[in-house]
This record gives sequence, structure tokens and C-alpha cells, in this order.
Amino acid sequence: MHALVTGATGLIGNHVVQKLLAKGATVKALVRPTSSVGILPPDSELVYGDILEEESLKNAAKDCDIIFHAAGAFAYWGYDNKTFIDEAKKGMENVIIAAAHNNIKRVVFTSSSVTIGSSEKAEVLNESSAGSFEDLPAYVTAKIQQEQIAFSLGEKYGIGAIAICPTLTIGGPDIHLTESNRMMVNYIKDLYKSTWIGGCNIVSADDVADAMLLLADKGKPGERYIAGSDNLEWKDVHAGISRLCGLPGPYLTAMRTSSYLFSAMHELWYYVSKERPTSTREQAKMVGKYYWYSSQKLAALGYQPMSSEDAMVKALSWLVTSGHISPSIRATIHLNDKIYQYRNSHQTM
Amino acid sequence: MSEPSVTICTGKEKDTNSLLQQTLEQAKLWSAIESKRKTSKLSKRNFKILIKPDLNFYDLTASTGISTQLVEHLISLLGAKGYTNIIIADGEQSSGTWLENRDLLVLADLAGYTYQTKEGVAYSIESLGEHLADADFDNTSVLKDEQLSSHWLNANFRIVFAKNKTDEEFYYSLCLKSLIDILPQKAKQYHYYFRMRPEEVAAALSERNEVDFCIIDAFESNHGMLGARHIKKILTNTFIAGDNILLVDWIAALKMELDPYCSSINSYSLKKTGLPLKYKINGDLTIYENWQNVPKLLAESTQSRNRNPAIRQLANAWLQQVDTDIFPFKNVADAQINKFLSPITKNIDTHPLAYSALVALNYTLGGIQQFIEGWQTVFDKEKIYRQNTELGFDVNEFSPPDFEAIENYILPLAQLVAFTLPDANGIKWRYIDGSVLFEYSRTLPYDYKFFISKVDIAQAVQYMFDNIGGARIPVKTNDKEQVIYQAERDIYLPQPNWMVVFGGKPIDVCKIEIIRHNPANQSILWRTVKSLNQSAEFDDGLVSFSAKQKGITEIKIVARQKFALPLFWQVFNMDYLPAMKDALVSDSYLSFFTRTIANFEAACEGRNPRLGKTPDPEWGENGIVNHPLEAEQFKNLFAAFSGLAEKFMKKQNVFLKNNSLQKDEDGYVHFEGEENKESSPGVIVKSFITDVTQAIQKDVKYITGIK
Repeated sequence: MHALVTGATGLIGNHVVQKLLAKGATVKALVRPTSSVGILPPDSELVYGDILEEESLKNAAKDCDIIFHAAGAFAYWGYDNKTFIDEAKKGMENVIIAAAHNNIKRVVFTSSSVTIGSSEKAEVLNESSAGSFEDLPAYVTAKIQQEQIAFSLGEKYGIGAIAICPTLTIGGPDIHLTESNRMMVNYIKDLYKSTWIGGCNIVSADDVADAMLLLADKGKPGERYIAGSDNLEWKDVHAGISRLCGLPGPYLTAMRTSSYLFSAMHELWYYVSKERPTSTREQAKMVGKYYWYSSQKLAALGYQPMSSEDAMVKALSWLVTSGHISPSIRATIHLNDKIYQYRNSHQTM
Repeated sequence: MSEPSVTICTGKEKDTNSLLQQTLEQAKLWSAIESKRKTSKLSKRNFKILIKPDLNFYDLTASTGISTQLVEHLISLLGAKGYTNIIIADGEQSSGTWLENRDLLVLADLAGYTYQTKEGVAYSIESLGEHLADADFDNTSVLKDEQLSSHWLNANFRIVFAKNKTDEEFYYSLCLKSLIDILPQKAKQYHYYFRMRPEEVAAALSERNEVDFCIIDAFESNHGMLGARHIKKILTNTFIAGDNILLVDWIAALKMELDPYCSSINSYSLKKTGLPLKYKINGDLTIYENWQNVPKLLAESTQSRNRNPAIRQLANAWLQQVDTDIFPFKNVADAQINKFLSPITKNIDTHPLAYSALVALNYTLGGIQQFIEGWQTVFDKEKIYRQNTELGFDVNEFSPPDFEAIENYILPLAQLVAFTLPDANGIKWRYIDGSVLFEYSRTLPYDYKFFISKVDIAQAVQYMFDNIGGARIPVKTNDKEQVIYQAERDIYLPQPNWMVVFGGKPIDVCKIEIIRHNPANQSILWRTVKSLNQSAEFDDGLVSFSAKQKGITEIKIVARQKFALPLFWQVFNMDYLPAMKDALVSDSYLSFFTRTIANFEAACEGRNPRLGKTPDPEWGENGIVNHPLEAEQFKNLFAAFSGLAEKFMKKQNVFLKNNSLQKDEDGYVHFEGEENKESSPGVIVKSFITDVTQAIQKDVKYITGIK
């Protein structure tokens, strides 16, 4: 397999590169000249370019037989909504055009489980569910429109575009801290150890990368596949983080109103401190919803993710060693034996 | 060698030049120069004499700096004696970060220096911010990594020529404070008054004994509450001169009717180095008539205010009396605020309201800073600045037997506490002479060899939780280049942290240490030899790393501690409530040591576990002007409010009548386009209200279960 991986220094892209190399594939890692490439394996071939530049993408995809498109921002702050959506669409369009230009017949791209929608009650959604799309953040709109472009252009150019829809993806290394890892960091930093109502599904970046390779082999063009693991209430997620880090809590449970008001205050404070708000109003609007999904469709192809707790063990093992957690916060953490066992079995240090 | 002396010459009937000449003769400047020249074996023509004048004036008529005429007269006198290799040198000024025309050469031009005296003696003017060279400061010094200008280093004779003036923060500003100006960095207020402690900086410079002669121009002094800022001349008809900088300042302060120890800068050096054992005072020690000093309340409030580097910088820019025709402000906002505040503070000596207002403002700003520091100490330690200090004691006073004796002191204590039963928190502890002796240990699932390869035992004390700075000096190494004797100074946040609410001060302790390296065990044992701020009576102990079964390392901490309590807790004596005291002690130590162990673990994970942020050592050096760090946040806040106000006024068509309806060259009148509706304040507020209403409705449904 000759693969091009976009977003190769991102959380999922980096894992895809590693998995491909482990399988003996030749890998071109598309990176921007300004990217930190230190996290990439030394045997990956770096190609410099940008998904927003069509020509650079065409050149990068030369001699490849598949593209794994993992580039794209996952953020709830710091972007102009229109630019955010336009860039996601343009990037996807360029990837399909580059594939067509190089006669590549298969593109596996990362979408998100949020494109399925959410539910106001604790119910599990699948790829064909009609979830709620109330209060869509720009990120969700971008992902929905990205899917539409991929499938329509894929059909037009005869390219098998397959969408993987990961749930809340955690793990490391994660240079710019995606929102999912930020959720864990924010909880660890939170003095009040607050949780909130609603639920989510947590999956390891490692499993998402495995799933992308699986879809490259067995995925059906024009289809989307949810890649998740366990469905959890937020209070259980936060209790799990507390347990694994030897921290107390969670103490407080935030409702929608308090979340929204506090997020508004955080956003206001940004104009003084210039530090990214701990939470945003867009995120606050997601409080109380259930982002619970089934991965049965992918499981039918052989997908076997680790449990959400194991995903948290793996992610926290890396996060506590990273600069995303300050020394004073690290000093409050008393790691659970599960993290040591993970480190010893994987020799991660 | 003759004993140090100081000469005071007073003469109402004389002019400045002749009184200066008389002072220098009585103070034996000429024999001092000649003696040094002979030792150097240089000719008079090649013997390089450096004069460092006080150039802190912001108005050409000001008496806050040395007059050009006096400096040139000194040069003429030197020239008349045959010394013609003369330079005037000074460092670049902090004020250059907020005022124009403060570069040394421009400043000298404006002051009227002509590079040749009326008597024809030529001299040069050099910036001590240039031609930097290694200065070989002692490795225990706060300036150990700093350079000095080769103009200073290569001079054969150095004269500090200071103005006689008061100072709102340090009570007086004389030769020793002026000496700080020779350091190279431009943003001196930031680097040498905040990033480093000014008293340690001044001491490190004076200890080099490079200043050969000091002169204080007290002919026309500047006194009053803001003597370093506002022009308040007073004829005191005096010159003070001598060869010992501390002695000269001592006499000058006494003549101001001050306790020379009131300045923290001079006090530190006086206590550390001391006056010469034997010295001579020649002249009149009568205090100046009608001299006005800085009230204690103003000085203390200024010290409180100036703890924040941003406020220090802003206060300098906003309160300084400036002739803006000569020294325009770089920032319009600074100029406007200075124009408003400076005239008010100018009348501070005669206007009780202005004085009270400044003191109140200082204390308010100081109080805010104290609140921020308290908040950061308890909740946001990463925002606290790390402290860069000197070692704080002379390690040469301790011989190898002193280091070896630490073991004899600590090990029996460790044995004693080992036999104590652990409390509910798993800590073994007991009281000894009012101090707490405790032991805490934990095993970590890391191979011992791996662990010690990652965690340097020599840094173990600095890895203790809440360590916020200090200095560490290896004293002796073994044949494997491992440190075995070490000296260090550690500064910790107040313990427990909440003591900060009661005015608890940082723990500042100087220690000698011995390190043992054995195949299956490493340990560091320490004894406190000094606490510069009297914050600790005992802080002694040991940290050991030991190999246990395969893949397991044990960390053990034994310590004996007794810290000074804030006044409140001295009065509210917890000894009468033993159960409560025991609970607090146990909880505090549990928290402190679990976090310390986590720091060791973080070091093992490859992280730097040190708390706090390091002040930028380059700030102000690369063309950056304006204010540091937090000051930018004030500006952002100001910009945010003014932006909102502007939008509001536009909405109300406040500007329409005056500015917006301008005709262009073709006669068309242009209106501003309609504002983007999504980002207009009205839409934002409306959507906010809608969102909150929806959130409340959903929460009510969620709580009541109504569908």
C-alpha cells in the first residue's frame, strides 16, 4: 500500500502513520512547513504542502493508491465560523480532486460522530439514526458539509470515499491539544471538579487509526462508519479521570444554564487575559445532550476497540507527562496503578 | 595602605567648582589615583579613568542628576594633573523604554557634554550597555551569568559621581544605588529591581571593589518626598567624597538625618560586607537644614506598589516630571496620563491631599498585587514568577567536617521518627523543641537504575513542592564527577499556602548538603545554616532513593521543620488546641509531601517539575518598548472598554455631526456601511438572552421531568 496521510502531525493522523508503517506500507506524511514533525516516525516520508493548496496536494498524492484524510481543525474557539466551514469543505474538495488527478480510487476521511446528531435522552444512535441537530457549532456544520462534498465529488470522479465518524477521541501525542483531550485537562485543572449532565462516547485515537485501516480494506464507498467505544454519562467520565489521577471529585454537576453563563464569563475574560477560554458558549450548548453511538456497523467488519477506561488510561499516561498539564497540577496527581501497569507493559517511558 | 576615610566639605561662601576641588584634595583623590597608577605601571596618559555620573534628569534644569559643568570641572582637574585618558560612562536607562532621547549619547548631547572641557581636556562618552565581556562574577552571585562593559572592566580607576537626593522607594539614592546603572540591560527597573533583587545586585557589584572613589554632589541637592522624580532643589553647599562606597553613602544618609539602614539596598550591603573596621571621618556631620525626607508611610506604600513589575514600570512613566519638549513619550496614553498625574504629585510635599492620595493609591495597587499573589500562591502557582537570587551565605565558612557532621545530626533524628507510629494519613511525625519531625515514604513502580538516571539526587531539595527559586552551587565532587557537597538557597511559597492570607512570608533558607551515592541507594542530607528573612528556625532533613524489589524504587523524606508564623497565628496559639493543631499539621504535611513525591515522579517522566514562570531575561533588549507582561492586560482591558464605548457612541450617532459626513474631493459625502449584524452588540445581547432563556427552560424540564 502506498498511502498519503494528511494531518499527519495531528492526533489521529499521527496514529494512522504509525499503523501503516507497522503494516509495511509506504507512507507519505503531508505536513505544513511550520508543523512540528518530531512526533512522526523517522521512516515516514515527509511531503510539504497544505490541503488548502490544490497543487501541493496533487503533487503529494503522486504514486499513491490511497489517501487517508485526517487533516482539519477540531475547535470550539479561535475561528471565524464561515472560514472554519469553508476551509473544511475546500480541504475535502482538494483531497478528492488530488485523488482523481492521480487515479487514486479510495479515500478514507475523518468525519465525526456528531454528524449523526445527538439526543436529549439517553439513547444510542447509529449511522442511520435521525439525531437532533439543534444549536450546531461550526465544527459540526463543517463536518456535515465535508461529508456531503466527499460523497458527491467521490461519486462524480468515481472515487470510493469512506467516512469514519469517531466519537470523542483521546490519546497522545497531541501537540495542539484537541478538544477531547482538552476536556480531560480542564477537568484535572478544575478547582471545583465539575461535571455536567448528558453523556458521550469515548474512543482511543489508536482504535480510530485501526478503524481507518480497516475501512481502507473493507469499507463500502459512500458510507459512513461510527468508531466509538463505551457510552458513558459525563459524571462517569469525570469520576474515571479522578480515579485514574488520584484526585477527588467530581463535586459539582453543572446544568445547561450554569454552563452557559460560566462559559460566557470565560469568553469575556479572554478579552483581558488573551488565554483561551476554559469552555465556550458553543460547548455549553452541548451540555445535557447525549452523544451516545453504536459502532456495530464497524464491528461487523472486525473493529474491536479497547474499553473507554483503557482509552483514558492510555491518554492520561501521556497527558500527565506533557506540557499541557502544568507542574503544579502534575504535583497533585497520584497516578492509579492501572497507568503504571500500562506504562510497564508498553514501556512508554 | 591608608585606612578608608570620608571627607565632608561645606562652604556657603565658595562656588561649586572650588568646593569640589577642595573636597577632592582633602579626600586625597590625587594620591589615590597616583598610587593606583604606579601599581599599574602605566603612564598618566595611558592610565584610563572612568567617571560614572548620575544622569537621571528629565529636565535640563533638574537637580536630580549631576550637572555637566561639575563633571567637566572634575575632568579639567584630572587633566591639569596630567591624566588625559578620561571617559564618562553610564548604562542605558530604563526610561528609554518609555521616553524618546534617553540613549546615553543623545542624553549627553542634550545635557551639553562637548567632549572637551573649557580648559581643553578631551574626554569620551561611552555606553556601558555596549562592548560587553565576561565579568567573572562569583558563581554564588545573583549576577553570575551577567556581563559588564569592557569600558568598565578595562578602566584603571573608577569614580562614581552621585547626586544627593531622596528616593520615594529607598528613602535615599546615592552612590550604591547609582552603581546598579552600570549594568548592561536597558530595562533596568525590570531586570535589576524585579527579575533580580536590587539589594543583591548592588552588593554583587560593590563586592568587586572596583569603585576606587565616590563623590556625592550635595552642593545643590534634591529632597522631598519624590526627590528622584520632581525638582525640589535645596542648597546644602556640601560635597562628600571617599574611597569606600558604603562609608560615603553612610555619611551622606546620616547628614540627611536618616538611618543609613532604611534603604534596603544599602542595608543589605552594610550587613553583608559592613563598614571598614577602622575608618576616618573628616568634616562636618551636622544635618542639612530644612531637609525633607520621604515619610515611612510613602516609602512602604511605594515598596508595596512596586512589587508588580508592570505597575512599577507604569508608575515610573506616569509620575515622573518630564520636559516633554526634550524627552517626548513613546506612547500617547503614557503622555496623557503623565500630564494629568505628574503635576498633582509635584505638590505632594505641600499638599496633604496629594500625599494622602498617592499613599492610598500605592497601597491600593499594592493590595491588589498582594491579593493576586495570594490567589496565585493558593490557586494558580504557574503565574508566580520564579526568584533568581544569590546563594546568600559564604559557603567557604564551612569546612568538610561541617558537611560530614550533617549526617551525625540527621541520621539519629531519622532513627527516632522511624519508631513513631504513622497517623491516619500514613505520616510518622512528632514534636522536637517546637519543630515537627516527620517521615514520609512511598514506592514508585520504576526500576531504581532507570529512576536515578532520570532524577538527579542533587536537585532533590529543589524538587520539593512549592519551591519557587533560589540558587544551588556544587562545592565538591567525587572521582565520578558526582556532587558530594553542595550549598543551596531555597525559596518556598508560604507553608501552608493559606498562611499567605494572614501575611505569611515565603520560606527562604540557606543550606549546606551532603550527598551519598551507593549502589542501591542515593541520599541527600541537609542542614539549614541561615534564613535571610527569618522565616525558618529549622528546615533540615534527608531525601533518599532506594532500590527495593525489582522494578520498585522507594523515596523517603525525613525532615525537621519549624517555620515562623504570621502575627495572627502567634497570637492565636494553636498549642492550646492540640487536636486541631495535629490535624492541620498532618494534613499540611500530607499535601506537601505527596506533591513532592509527584514532582520526583514528574522528573522521572522527563518533565521539569518546577513551579512558576521565569521572568524573560531578554525583556526590553530588542527594540521592545512599552510595558511588560501584565501591563499589556491592562491595555487590553482598556481597549476592550473603549471599543465597546466607541460602538455604543457610533450606535447613538455621536460622531455623525462632526466627523463622518466629510465630502471627498469629488464632492460626495460618504456614510459608513451598516455594521455586520451578527457581531453588533444588539444581536449579541439578544442571542445571549435567547440562549439563556432556552437553557433555563431545558433545565426546568430536566429537573421536573416535564416533557
